[in-house]
Amino acid sequence: MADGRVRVRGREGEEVVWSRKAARRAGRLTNWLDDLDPSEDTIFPVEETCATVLRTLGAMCDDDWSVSCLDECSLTQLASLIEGASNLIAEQALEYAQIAFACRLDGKCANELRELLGALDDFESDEERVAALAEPAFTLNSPMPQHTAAAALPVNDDAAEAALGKVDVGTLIELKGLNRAWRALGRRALCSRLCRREGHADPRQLHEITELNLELLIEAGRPSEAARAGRLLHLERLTGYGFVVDVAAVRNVDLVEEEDEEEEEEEEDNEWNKELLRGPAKHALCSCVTGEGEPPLKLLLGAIACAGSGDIRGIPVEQMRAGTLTHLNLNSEEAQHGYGIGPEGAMLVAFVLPVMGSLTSLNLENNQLCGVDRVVGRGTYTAEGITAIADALRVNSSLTQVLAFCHPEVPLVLL
Amino acid sequence: MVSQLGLAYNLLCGIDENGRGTYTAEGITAIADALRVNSSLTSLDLENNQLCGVDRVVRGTYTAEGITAIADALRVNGVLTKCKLKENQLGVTGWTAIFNALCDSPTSKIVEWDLRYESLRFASLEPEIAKPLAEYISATGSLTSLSIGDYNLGDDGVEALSIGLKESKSLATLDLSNSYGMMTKFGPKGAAALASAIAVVAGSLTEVCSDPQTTFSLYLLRQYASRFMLTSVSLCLLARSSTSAGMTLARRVQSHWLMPFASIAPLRRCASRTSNACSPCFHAQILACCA
Repeated sequence: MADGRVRVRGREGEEVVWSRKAARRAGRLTNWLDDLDPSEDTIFPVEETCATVLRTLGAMCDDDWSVSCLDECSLTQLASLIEGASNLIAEQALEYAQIAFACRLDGKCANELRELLGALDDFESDEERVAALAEPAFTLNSPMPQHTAAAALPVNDDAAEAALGKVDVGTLIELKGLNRAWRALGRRALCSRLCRREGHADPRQLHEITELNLELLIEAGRPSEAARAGRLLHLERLTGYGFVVDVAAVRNVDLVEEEDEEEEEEEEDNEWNKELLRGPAKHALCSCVTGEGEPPLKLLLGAIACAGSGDIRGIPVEQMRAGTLTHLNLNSEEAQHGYGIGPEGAMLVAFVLPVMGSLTSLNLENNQLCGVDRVVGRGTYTAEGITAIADALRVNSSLTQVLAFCHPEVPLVLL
Repeated sequence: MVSQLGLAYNLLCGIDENGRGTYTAEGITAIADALRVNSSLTSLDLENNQLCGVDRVVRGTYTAEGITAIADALRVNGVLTKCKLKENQLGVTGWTAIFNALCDSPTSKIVEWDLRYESLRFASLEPEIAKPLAEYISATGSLTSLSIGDYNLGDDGVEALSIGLKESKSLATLDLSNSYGMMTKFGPKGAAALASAIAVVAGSLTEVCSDPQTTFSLYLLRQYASRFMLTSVSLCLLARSSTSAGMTLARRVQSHWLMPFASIAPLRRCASRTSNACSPCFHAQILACCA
């Protein structure tokens, strides 16, 4: 202490020396130093952390430490560093370790992750494994969990969750397919990320979920979770992209387009309007959203998928969300309106498609799905709509079986 | 989960029906990528999307990028049984990509291909499709129906096709009728080769359709009359017989030639395929055969 260094004693009794500057970057050590008589030569005990971890954390909190030093660490070692950094409230070190942990996992599928983490598959059947991957992202653990996080990572529960703090949502969903312990940990991390509401306790049961972060789900390639949430949850708010959507208000929006004749003629004479949302319907929908500027289309479509009522340009979004349709014919030449659903309509269909467990045939013919008019070539090409449809088709067909027990009248199986 | 998806008439590559626009394969490539992993879709309709960048009279610039992506996806897809690609002017290059991919595929379950409504502007290249098609026919165990009537294969092409046809494991229907109302262009040499190949696989190939005026039709009729090999060879031979005179003639032919095996039902189905009346030429040929 007198030489400007701080002595820290680890779990095994071994002492580790930190620089004073490094110690100041750990909350607990800072508090201890502040309370300490400067002339006193004392050792700070950190009984829950081993000396090896303390030594690395001390280095991580120093100025001359490089992030590349973590390249040599195993995932278990990184988890231990995260646990140690959490114990010491060493935020900078914690973030470095979390990022390193996430970099190893992000973008990998369940099988790759199982091998990487050395996790033993203890699911009773293929169906259980598939169900774990396909269940709603917001599925909660049973209030009486059968698996501790320690079964997934050799650290305490909070540290295990902290280890997943920077892992992207798509990977968290994949982690649920490793084994039961990882499913429990993945659910916990996802709930915290997706459903936590400021000023509220973390939900423990589905009916306690009142808020969902749609941005994280959309960016993780899971926009259909909006429709699932609309079917299964009693949501009050959707959040994302800096906006908050009032879900109850969205339910009351009349999405049917009302065009006056003048506007219709103008449209025929000039250019086909590929925008799905416009006029009074768009205005009414935007009035359900608070935030700076115009809400992004993805958020609005997610809101419609979650809570939209009736039809929009012939797309029976409410019926689709209910999941009971077996055939859906949106061929614009057979519909009342002459124009197609366009790329934005295709995105909306794609948002809901994965939850339509009973659907066997979908006709999207003659819909200008890429924004270009069929005969006279008006409009600008965009692949957003057809890409969204393609993404929805990637969802494994086994999802159907899982969705069967996601029906609102059948409670989710919480393991 | 969706097993049938219709995406026809959507300009998925940005080219309209008059060949205008800028080609982009982004959309069709996304669909192709999805086909690699999707395990529920059994039927996909991509008709009339100008997938190769040209319209039906070959305006625009041909590019195989999109159809190559689809072909590569079909190579690994083991679920699709129908993938409708007609009216996309795929040409020999596009169809060859498809057939070559399927030749290599151990998993393909495609049961039918309809190559009709291809532009005749590709005519000079058309015989070239015979070889990859023949290789595919001989390799696949799933293909049951093939419509190729709009391709002008020529005698050499038909001979090449016939070689594959003889080794067919699954083909049950071969449609050589021309959707443009034009006769398939091959002569006695090709007709004889084809009729001979059909005789080899007569046990599984039960339905052959052709335009009535063609030499091949006559070859087939003669073969049929003498050997009673096929069960419904009359289908498109009588396709133009939509008038009452035509139907009378059809029944007469049926009673003469097909009674033990064919029924009137497929005759009617085929008669409704085209509104053209029975041509005098056809009358003469049939009567000559009957005589």
